[in-house]
Amino acid sequence: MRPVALADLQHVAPCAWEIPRSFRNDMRVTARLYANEAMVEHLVQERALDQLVNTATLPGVQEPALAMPDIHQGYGFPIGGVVATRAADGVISPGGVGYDINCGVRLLASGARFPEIRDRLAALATQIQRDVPTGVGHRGRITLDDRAMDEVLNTGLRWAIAQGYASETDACSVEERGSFAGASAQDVPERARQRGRDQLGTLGSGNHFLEIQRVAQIHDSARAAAFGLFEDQVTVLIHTGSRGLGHQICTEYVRLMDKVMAEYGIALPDRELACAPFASPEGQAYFRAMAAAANFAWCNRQLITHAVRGAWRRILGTDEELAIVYDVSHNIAKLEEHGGVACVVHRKGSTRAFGPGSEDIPERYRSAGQPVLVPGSMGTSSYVLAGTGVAMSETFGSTCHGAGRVMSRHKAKKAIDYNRLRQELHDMGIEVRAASAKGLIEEAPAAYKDVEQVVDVMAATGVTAKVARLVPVAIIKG
Amino acid sequence: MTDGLDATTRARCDRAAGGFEFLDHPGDVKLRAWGADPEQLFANAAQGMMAFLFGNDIADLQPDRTEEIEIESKDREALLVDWLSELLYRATSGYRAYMQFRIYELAATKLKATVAAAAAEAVEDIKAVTHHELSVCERDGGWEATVVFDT
Repeated sequence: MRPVALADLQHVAPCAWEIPRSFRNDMRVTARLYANEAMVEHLVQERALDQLVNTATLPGVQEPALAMPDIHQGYGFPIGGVVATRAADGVISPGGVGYDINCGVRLLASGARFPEIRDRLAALATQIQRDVPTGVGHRGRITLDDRAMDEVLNTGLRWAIAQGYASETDACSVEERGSFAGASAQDVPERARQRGRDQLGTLGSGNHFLEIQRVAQIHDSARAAAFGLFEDQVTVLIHTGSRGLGHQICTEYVRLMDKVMAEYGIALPDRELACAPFASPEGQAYFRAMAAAANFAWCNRQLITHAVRGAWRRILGTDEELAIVYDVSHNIAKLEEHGGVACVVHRKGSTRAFGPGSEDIPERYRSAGQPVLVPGSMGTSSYVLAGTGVAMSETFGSTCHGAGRVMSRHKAKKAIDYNRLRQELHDMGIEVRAASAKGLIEEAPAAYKDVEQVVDVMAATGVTAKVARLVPVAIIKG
Repeated sequence: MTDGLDATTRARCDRAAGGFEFLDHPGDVKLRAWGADPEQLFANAAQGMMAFLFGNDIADLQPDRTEEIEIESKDREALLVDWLSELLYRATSGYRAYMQFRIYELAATKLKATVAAAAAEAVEDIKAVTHHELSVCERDGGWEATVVFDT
């Protein structure tokens, strides 16, 4: 198959490009990319756009297959893509969600301004590192027995509320209220339960991290006020997912679908796109298991929140409860209605960004639009955006999810000097608590696209509005 | 791959020594393994994955148990993914490193092996073994495989 070249991309609107169906005869819909010109030139040199074209071949795919400006090469599906398929006769693909099911971002807001806590920042970072298990293979503080595991998987944050880890207010600030309808522990393979039983409340390694931040800039004061954000405010951002439990669910369902795909007459350009009709027994079982993994991930971020709140109270000597601004998922499939059609919206490295008026977002945000949390790479800014009506009509209510990797971990290890990186972060006034040197190097800012450009592209298209920019003051990672 | 030439050069050097090497892949880790026959290929691929997970110290570990593994898959490529996924599951859920892969039966869709294990803490995480850019083929009188890990 001929790779996508610059000449194949049609510039259809500011920061919007399309690869027409005529590009490859197995395409069922147009492939649409949001990017600026410099990004496009870089993207045609890697294989992410060919992967985008592959997603446009899936049975039941709805017009168009989408890629966000943070797109980079994944396995099967690109990371930074959105594929909506018709629920009635389209497919669901575990690879379209990814191995880290409901990997996502949660933002906590304090009532404090940064100068008020500056002198205790180092102590706070140390305490959080002590209280939140981070790094490869680190076990959580609790091990779930079979009954508790069932409750986590079936009910998500309802379990956390019953155990005293969460409040009703917390649940209101999480997608799906932290409890995915239709989740079923029965469809979760035993091995996934085994891999996850001691991982609840752990951050993990890789690109997962926790940051204490300062609100550096307000771009939209009305929306910022609606989200409870103000300049110089201290916030905490948590980025992690469903850990080994989600990885194992994806592994086992990719295997199952790879086996049964031919029976449904599905042929695909890449095996990792393995899928089954959404309405089939296999498609439904995966959806229920994925929903259960999503519940596990919400409980994971909740237990970390609980630990951070404890550390905050202990070090700052207040009884303030850090509030959840919002909790977004950027690896998930959701059943949603778009243009009057029931769709399975696969977001892999993409964030839901529902516009004002949506009943699926908390009432207090209904006039502002859904808060979207976009973490930058380590040491750089993160953004709070808001979903718009354009997102609803153009992108199945979706936007970007982060910076997007440009340098492999392997290359980063060769190119980046640990001591210099540490010094640079120190010079920026950032406290670093990292479990390993390697973990720090692999996630160095130079390994990622510039997050500013990513959010600017989405603002130029009108899909999401910039609300606030946050900068790290302390980084805790594996 | 942007560093294709590099990779080929490294491949030649490593071929005799280790039986596997890691290639550059954006965001993830790509493993290439070789063997005189499929049994050796599968053993070398497993050794490569364990070397990535547990680091160089794996050579010093003393196994304290053996385990039996039996796998049936759709085809040879899927068999490699399932074999490595099986070891990944056992390693991460049981906190054990695996070594001495004795594959005593290997057909296109079936594998039986005895493996040794030692208690160990991983230094790297692999989320999953993917089907992306997966290949198992006969080349130059030997066998070669590539597989991408989601890290």
